[in-house]
Amino acid sequence: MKAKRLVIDVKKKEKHEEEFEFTPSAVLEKADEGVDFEKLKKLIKYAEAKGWLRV
Amino acid sequence: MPFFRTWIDQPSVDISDMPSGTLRLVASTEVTSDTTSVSFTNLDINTDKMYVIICNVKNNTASTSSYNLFINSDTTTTNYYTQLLQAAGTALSANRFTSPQVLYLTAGTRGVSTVKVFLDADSYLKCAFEHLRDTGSGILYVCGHVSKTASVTNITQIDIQASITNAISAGSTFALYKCDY
Repeated sequence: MKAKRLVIDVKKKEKHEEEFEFTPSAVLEKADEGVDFEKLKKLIKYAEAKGWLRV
Repeated sequence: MPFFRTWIDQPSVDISDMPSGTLRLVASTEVTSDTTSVSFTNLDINTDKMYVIICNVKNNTASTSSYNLFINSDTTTTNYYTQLLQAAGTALSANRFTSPQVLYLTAGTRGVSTVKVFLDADSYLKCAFEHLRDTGSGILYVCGHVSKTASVTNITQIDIQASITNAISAGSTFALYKCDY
């Protein structure tokens, strides 16, 4: 697939557009599920209250 | 409240007057029609030591796009790693993957990524980015580290390339600074 590239030559101080052969790449997820610390704190408090956990 | 202001009457400043360690603008551009990649060529990081690129990008396409930073025309994504940390409200998350991703925009959104590019003491690419995206209650903060799996002798070209066609939309701007020291 052809796509457009904007080229800035910093030495010659000139810009031009050119076509290049482009293969779309996978869009990666920005992050995994992660840790919600507010939920984690609630979970710890709940587990402490139930006597399941001692911190 | 009274205040004092000092006027410095110097009509022009020669860039050679700037002390080393100062950020100096090397090139900047505004994208006037949708494009897929922006390339800075004829760079020399061995002389310039460090580059700072401010990527102010709009994604007007109907698809999500990530944006990769490639050096020296090596566009094989698996030759790079990204480690990132993301804050979204009280949720913190992290990820690592084999591509040099410095920006990520969902369809019709915009974001700013400040990217610092170095070579480490053994000439491996080290790139630190700080990415600000989305608006209002959905704002996200993402920071990360991009590295290359092999060392290089210099960085002569930096490409910021979207993962889908034309996801660097008109109105996006890029500025590249150097900071020799």
